[in-house]
Amino acid sequence: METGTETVKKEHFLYPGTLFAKKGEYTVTTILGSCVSVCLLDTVLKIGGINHYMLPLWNGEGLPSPKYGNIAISKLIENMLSLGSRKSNLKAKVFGGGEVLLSSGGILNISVRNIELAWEMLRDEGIPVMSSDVGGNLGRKLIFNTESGTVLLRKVQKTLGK
Amino acid sequence: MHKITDNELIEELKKRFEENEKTLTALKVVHEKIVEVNKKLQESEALKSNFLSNIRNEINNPLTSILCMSKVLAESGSQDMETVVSMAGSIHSEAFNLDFQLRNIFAAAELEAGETEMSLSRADIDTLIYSSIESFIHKANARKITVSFESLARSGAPHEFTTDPEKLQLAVTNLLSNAIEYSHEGGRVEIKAWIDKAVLNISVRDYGIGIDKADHKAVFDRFRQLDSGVSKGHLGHGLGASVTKAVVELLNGTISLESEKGKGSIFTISIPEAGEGGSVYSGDSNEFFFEVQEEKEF
Repeated sequence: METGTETVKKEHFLYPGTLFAKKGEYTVTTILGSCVSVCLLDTVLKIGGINHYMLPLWNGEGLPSPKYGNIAISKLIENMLSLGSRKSNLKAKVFGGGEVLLSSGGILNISVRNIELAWEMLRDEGIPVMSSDVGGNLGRKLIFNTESGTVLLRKVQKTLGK
Repeated sequence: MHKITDNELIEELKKRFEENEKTLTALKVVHEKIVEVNKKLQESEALKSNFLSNIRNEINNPLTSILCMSKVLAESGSQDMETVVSMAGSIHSEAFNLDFQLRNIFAAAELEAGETEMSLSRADIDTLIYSSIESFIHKANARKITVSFESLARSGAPHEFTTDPEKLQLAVTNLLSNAIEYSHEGGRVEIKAWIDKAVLNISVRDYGIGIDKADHKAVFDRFRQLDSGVSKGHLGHGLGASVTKAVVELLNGTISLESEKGKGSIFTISIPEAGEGGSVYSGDSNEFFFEVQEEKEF
């Protein structure tokens, strides 16, 4: 949907457990540790959406919110479809699941399971993953442009003493 | 060609048998987990159906009261001032109740859709809590329940704190509503706020029916109202505690529960100040707390 005119980019800060998918050009910023973000882009309509989940699967406790990967990914796909996307035009980028060395077994497990869940669900949904940057021991700051689909990724480390 | 001896064959078979055994045990564990999760999901679905019938009462009852009382007020011109004031108070209290229930439902819907937006600002915590208490005065008075508040001002701390005030207020209102609901007639509810190392803590204590230790986790499940024994017949749709927990977690905080059956409950929420100490909620100012190691475009 190129308008040909200079428009002001709108900004959105994505909090953990929420998701974002809207028409128009937005830059969405989020910060990931062991969490994972799946970016979906519709290369035809030039719209994009992104989620930020903390745990892989909803286990029936609390609210079934996009804090959980299985809900976050299906909701994001659903939202893209309701914006007019066709599933066959969707492509994915996957980031996060880092900080694996920061803590013992617990975090390691969650990071890995968060990443695995993204691969599995996207494969089952038939959405190809164009690029990804996952795992490792650093956090990530993501700046996602919903129109162009580009993701500027900064690997970050928490500074000590803060 | 190497010919394997009988012994080698037996050893190999033994090894494979052990491996199979291990895989089987692991599968068994996974299977048990799946069965457990499945049970929970089924329960959640069943609770969801009950929720619809529960919510009907929650909305219908205050609405009916408001309609009746306002009709009486409008139709009888000769009411004395005292009655008018008292009825207006009741109407306000019922309308507040309705508004509160709806806010919980909308908050749950937003949280489940992942569409919750944060709106951070400096908020006067004491004023926020006082206004929550004020909205329950009618309900508390009707059951002769005293509500006391140990404010931040009393502890000498500054009462301003950066957070999402609307979300914090929803959490506090839910805790207060439950504390009053589950108190005995003539009981008391104590609220305390304090700040410790840029973390705001608010505890709400009641001396009511309490919660069995085995049920502590289930308290935060959606649509769940512990229907064991005495708590039956209490108002509520079982959404309040799960909304409170989700909202507090969205604010990067935690909620804890201390309670024993028959001895009342203490719910405590702890929320770090937004924008402080490298909190995820500081958005771009995170650059101050994170060292950039690498930059790349995807």
